[in-house]
Amino acid sequence: MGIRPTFFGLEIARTGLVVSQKGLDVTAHNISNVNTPGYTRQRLIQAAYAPYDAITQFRPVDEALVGTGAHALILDQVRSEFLDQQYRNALSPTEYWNAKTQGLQYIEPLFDDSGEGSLYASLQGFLTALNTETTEANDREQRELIQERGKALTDNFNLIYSRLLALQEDQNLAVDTVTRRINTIANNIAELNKTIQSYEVAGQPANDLRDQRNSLLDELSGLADITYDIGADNQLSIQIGGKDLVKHLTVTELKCVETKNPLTGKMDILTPVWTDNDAPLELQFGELKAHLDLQGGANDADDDSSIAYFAKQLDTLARAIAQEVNRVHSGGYTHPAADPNGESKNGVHFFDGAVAVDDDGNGEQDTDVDGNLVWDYSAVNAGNFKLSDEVAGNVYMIASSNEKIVMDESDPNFNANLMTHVGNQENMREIAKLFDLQNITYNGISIGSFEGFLNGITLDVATVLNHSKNTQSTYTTQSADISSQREAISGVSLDEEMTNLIKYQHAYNGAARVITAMDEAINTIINSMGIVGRG
Amino acid sequence: MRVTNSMLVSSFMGNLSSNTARLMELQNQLSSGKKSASISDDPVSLIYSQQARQRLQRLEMYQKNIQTTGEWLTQTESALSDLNEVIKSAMEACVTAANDIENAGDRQNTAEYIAQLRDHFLNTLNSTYGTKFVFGGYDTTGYTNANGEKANPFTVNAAGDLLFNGEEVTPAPGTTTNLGNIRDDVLTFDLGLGVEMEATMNGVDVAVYNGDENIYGLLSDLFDELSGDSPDAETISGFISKFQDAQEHILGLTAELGGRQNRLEMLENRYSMDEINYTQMKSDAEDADIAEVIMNLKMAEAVYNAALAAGANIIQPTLMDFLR
Repeated sequence: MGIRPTFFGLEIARTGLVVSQKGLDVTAHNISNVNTPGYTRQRLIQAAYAPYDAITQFRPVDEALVGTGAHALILDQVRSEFLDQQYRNALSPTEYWNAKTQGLQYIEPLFDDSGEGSLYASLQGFLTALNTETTEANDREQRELIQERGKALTDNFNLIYSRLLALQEDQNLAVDTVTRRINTIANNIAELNKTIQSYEVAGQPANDLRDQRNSLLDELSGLADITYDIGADNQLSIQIGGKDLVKHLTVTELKCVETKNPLTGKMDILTPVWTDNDAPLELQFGELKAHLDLQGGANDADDDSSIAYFAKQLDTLARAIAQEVNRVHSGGYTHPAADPNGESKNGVHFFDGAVAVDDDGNGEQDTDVDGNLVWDYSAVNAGNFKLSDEVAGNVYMIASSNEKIVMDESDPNFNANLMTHVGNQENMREIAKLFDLQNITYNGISIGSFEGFLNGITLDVATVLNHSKNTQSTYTTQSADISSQREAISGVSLDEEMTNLIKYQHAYNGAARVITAMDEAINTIINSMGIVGRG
Repeated sequence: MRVTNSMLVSSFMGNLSSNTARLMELQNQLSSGKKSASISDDPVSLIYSQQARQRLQRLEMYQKNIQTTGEWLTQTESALSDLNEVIKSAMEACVTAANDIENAGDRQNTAEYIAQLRDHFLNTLNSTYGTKFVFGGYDTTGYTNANGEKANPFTVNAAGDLLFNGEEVTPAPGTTTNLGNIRDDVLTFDLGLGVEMEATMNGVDVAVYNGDENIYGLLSDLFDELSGDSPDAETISGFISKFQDAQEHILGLTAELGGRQNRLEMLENRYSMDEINYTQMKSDAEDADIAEVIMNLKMAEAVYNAALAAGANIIQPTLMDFLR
């Protein structure tokens, strides 16, 4: 038998004490962090020391080998990289649809057509006023009603347009904020990469720093659809659209540049680009993409869920209304009371914004095949849609009659005793009938009917938001599900920690008892051995 | 599966908040009476509700037009029946006068009577609906004469000829006249479904019969004959057949008006039925079934209470409660 050092037993028990103490500490750390977001439970991996004799070269072969105690091998984090990946993949569409739903919910009330103040109600109010004029022609009050309802209609267009622009501006702000946040996170992660590396050089994982990094990675995957990989030395690299945002210790930041607003033409739409090559960011999902989609910048203006798209639809409607009403209205004759010379005029526009077209450049306005003057309405939009100065200035400028009204002798057209057509409301009937046309086109775009087109826009908003809400709820459920699975693995269970607490406490007590036993054994050897017959 | 404390808490919180969301939705339905709080809740219903709303607005509009048209037609009809009375009275007077040609005093009285009927005829042609002349064509507020004064649509010139807006209604052949420009002017109203209806008649069509004779002129001629020095019984009897023509003319117009009123009534009935249908359609698309909502609300409340009770039981105890 090899020689056993006298205090060997004490040393074994001491390692037990130390390891159990460490176990208690880990348990305490876990319990303390039971509610810490992003915290991953830690687990002490302990291992037995090899038998003392096993490492000596000259050992008897017939001896049983006794171990030499325990030691804390590593402090492990219990997490599943696979679930992390799953969670982050689910998080970017979740956040995308969250932000999108929220943005669309601000747009929705603008198009809600059930109320008295809705655009639809003012369109119908205008039609009602036109209709009353068809049976009550010539009354001043009716003309005033038309003027007032027409103004209410254009005001409502203007109001909704300006609200849409304000919402677009809000999305701009969100794009800026999110871009800054991405930069901050990228820098923090690079910083953590560095710190983690310096800690882990010693061989022990920097668990709590890794938790911090993982939390940041979670947040980042909500902002943009990122890909990431962990390379040599546990260095985390992150890519957006295949381009490195963080590569080990280096960060390529993003910045916002101003691009053209498809609505106003101003350079006020913020678009995130890479700072090193000014290339635009390639995004599929994530909160940032939702803000960009809602905003409807240069590339997204035709996205049928963007603010720019809805505003453009309103523009088209305003142009179509202006074009059609003006076309019929200008064919009618105004009331002579509007003119200082008592002349009943035709060619007066009801809505403002028509620009005379002279494509052939002969200095005269072009006419179409039917001999009608050609006007361009592309300058009209929902924001500047308004009554013409004539109609806004004088209700008698509303052309109800389809024939010239002559009522003054000084008028060269004055004929015998004739003042005719004051009560003629034929032209107003034509204008009112526009609302029942189903085949209106503006500039090659088929509008259908005015109300039908507006209903279509409303339905678009409703459908897009409905879809967005449903998708959001699907992804939210999915990511909550994955989050719950992740929690099942990584979360702290108090019951479990209590059990561990008892486990380590008992182990500690046991080790202490071993020390007492060894103490007694040594006491026996030192104080009681070899004293036969002395006392 | 390992179940941790935060899983218990978060799943409880998740369930609780979906319960409260459901409660809020149902309470919203109950207090507003509407199925959905926003248009995105149910885009399919929105389509129906949009259609119904548009139809209802049109119905309201056209029902108003029908009412206005009806009032105009009633006014026109009563004017026509007045005119008919005038002709009937004149015809009776004519018969009496033809049989009593020798009595100069009676004849003079009859002449006076005819003159009054003639004036009444003129007044009736100028009758108004509200402030608007029924038979004035487009000149519903009257025309302005050569002196710049407002005048009734029907006037009589110095020669005793009936004028419509300053133009002779039965001009001598070959005269230059503006009558052609204005004799077809009639207020026409839209009644929906592409139906349009003349709400009254042009006065010229009323006053003129047999193509080129006017009733006012007929009365004038009779008056002239009766108040003349040598009235002729034959001639006076000859007026009777003319009055019969005139009466036939007016009765013909009355019958036409009756036809229009029938059409109007049919349209009105149809619109009332449409209104019921579209109101139903709108209600189906928008309104909540209150009984169902209350039942669902009670169920949701029960679930909510159960969830709260479960939460109180599940969250509390841990192993710590059992350790000494």
